Amino acid sequence: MRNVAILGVGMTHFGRLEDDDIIDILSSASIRAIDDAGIDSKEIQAIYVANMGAGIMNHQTAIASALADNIALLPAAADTIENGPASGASAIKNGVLAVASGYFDFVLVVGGEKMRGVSGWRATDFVATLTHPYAEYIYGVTLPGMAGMFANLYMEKYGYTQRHLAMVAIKNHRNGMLNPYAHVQMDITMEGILDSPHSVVNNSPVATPLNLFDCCPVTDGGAAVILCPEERVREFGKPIVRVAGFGQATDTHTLAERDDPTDLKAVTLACKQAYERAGITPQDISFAELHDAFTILEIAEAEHSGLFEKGEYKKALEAGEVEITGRLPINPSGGLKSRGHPVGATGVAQVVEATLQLRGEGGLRQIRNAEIGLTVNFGGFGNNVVALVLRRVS
Amino acid sequence: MKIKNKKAYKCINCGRVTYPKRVACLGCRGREFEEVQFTPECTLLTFSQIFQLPWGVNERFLTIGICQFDNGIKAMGRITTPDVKKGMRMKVHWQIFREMAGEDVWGWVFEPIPSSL
Amino acid sequence: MDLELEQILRPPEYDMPPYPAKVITLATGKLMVVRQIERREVPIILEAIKPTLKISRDFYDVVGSRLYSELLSWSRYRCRNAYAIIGQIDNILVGCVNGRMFSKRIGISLHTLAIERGLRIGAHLFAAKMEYHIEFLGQSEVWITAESPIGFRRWMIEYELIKQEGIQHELGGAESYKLTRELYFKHKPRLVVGTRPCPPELLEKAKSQIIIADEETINRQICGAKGAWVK
Repeated sequence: MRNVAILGVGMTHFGRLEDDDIIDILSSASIRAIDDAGIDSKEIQAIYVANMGAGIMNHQTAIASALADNIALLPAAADTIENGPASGASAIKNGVLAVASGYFDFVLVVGGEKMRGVSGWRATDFVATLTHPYAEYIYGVTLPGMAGMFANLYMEKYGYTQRHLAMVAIKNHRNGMLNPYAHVQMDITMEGILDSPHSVVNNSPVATPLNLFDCCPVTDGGAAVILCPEERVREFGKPIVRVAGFGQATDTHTLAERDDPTDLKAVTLACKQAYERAGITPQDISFAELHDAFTILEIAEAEHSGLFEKGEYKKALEAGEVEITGRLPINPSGGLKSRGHPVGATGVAQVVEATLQLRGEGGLRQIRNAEIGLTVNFGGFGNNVVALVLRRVS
Repeated sequence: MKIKNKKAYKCINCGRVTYPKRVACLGCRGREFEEVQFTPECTLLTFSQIFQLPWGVNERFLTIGICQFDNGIKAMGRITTPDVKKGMRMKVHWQIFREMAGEDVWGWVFEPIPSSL
Repeated sequence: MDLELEQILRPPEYDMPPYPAKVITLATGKLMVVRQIERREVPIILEAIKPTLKISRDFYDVVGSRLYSELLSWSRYRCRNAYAIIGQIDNILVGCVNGRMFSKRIGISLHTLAIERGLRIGAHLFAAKMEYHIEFLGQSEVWITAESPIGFRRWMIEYELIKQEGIQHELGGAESYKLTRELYFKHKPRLVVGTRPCPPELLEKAKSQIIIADEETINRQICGAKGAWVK
């Protein structure tokens, strides 16, 4: 199997894209990636579209076919990949396999979501459809509710407080201010979201113990990459960013049936596979884009991915180790918290960010010594996780 | 709507409990199960008071949690009050607790037992 | 002006105690001064509201146009027993709410307009209105209706407002709901915040000038600048 590299990346602004439908969003992200790669789009032989909600929220299905038509990529092969919030990384994984196998040379992977066209109630309901239909969904549970139940246990077990959650939010908002694509560009303070008595309104509860600023926003947006065999990157004069490894694992559908609901087994296993395939250990990782749909998840994923021991992330947060200027930057893009979470696009956006960092194109949020990046895309509520390792090849 | 969440099962081969029903046992992939009864009381493992609710739910908030029945089965359900703590003993109710698409929905509702408050 | 005619057109008003200003710390750490305005301050606020007349998203045009006419008519003494409360951050206008006394006992909540989004300004200012009616005007209930889904979610559900079957809110439109004194005090601890007194220098500064952004900035604050094809 041959090595696969990322030739081009692109993304739309994330936010409320009022006048754009799902195909507009996917098309824009795709064209940006194609232009960044510098290839003639007729070279693209296959397309993988990552999306979770077009059928439910936008009343449109078979969107990969629609996209192939809209940006004139016919007669390329085109598939939609739906893996809940991990659709993005799943689509990347499929694209990587397609190129690695030798079947295709140039593959477009694009993720996108149009979520703001429906009311908040409907968006909340849509996301909740990933829970178990008659053991969870019927109760009216929401993803924040699942995260709240998880946080309730995790925080007690490992000694985390609301202050630690707030530190994650503040860090990611600060990073998002440096990211021109981020949905939420707002510098928040501990005083404003926790210490002041007015924080009871500023940072009201969403699903205890999680508050407003512990939860990512509802976002429209798209992100795309062009994949190709590593040996062909030089033809385009681009730096080589290799998809060095990937891993994926599943866990029980219901949160109740996990042997230990605080144990994110799928994260641990997916990362382990990714490290093994990349021939590295967690200590080799320079930075990570983690799936902080809720602040507690950045903490839990950092610990379950082997980057930190269980319970130790708080020390790294307090010491500034995970800032952009720190030893191991986590979510330099602003994460889902600030960059936003168009569900199907997120996994691809994480890879876009990792690629920009590895190329040295991170702008004001560029980290030092970016050699090897990890992305973790958390599907379901931790029952389907895809991890990717990307490395810069000199 | 067929009620699919009323019964729990135990794998005849390895004894692992499954709720809700699945085709193959997560422990040994066996496909033969026997029914297991729920107990009238259980223990609250975790919960969340949820304020931003999905379409179709009109309350200001819901309290939802996961309980462990005295024979080991674990299940999610609604909780009658947000004034609960992990580890509390709960009385189990199997009841209609909402309507969806014009049909009654049956499920678990857990109520704290006063002596454990 | 024909003073005799003006006397007829300008009816007697209730003696309304003023709303004491307060200051709120927002999520960004910035301070928002929440204060009642005087009639002479209406013209500058109307300039800030004007851009919303062209924004159909979230019914800003409906709310904006009605708030505009209510403030204008109040400033010209053609709407009685009314008030307006604004939020300012570093003198910049970030939101405006208004209402009036329907009777000594019953208040009417009219409109809530947030110009800066994402900081719960609408929630804070709506709460200030309810605080004014119940705690300072001493009323028993406030009638409320919603023109947008965000408004409905914020108020009808958050405050557990009581639906009033068959009673028309003076804005027309959807059913009216009411907030009672009992409901207000029940929900006050988690919905109504602020520090009083507002530090005098902060209040004086806020009163000295209301700064409004230009139309393009206001548009961007409300709508965002983004589209899928924006570079």
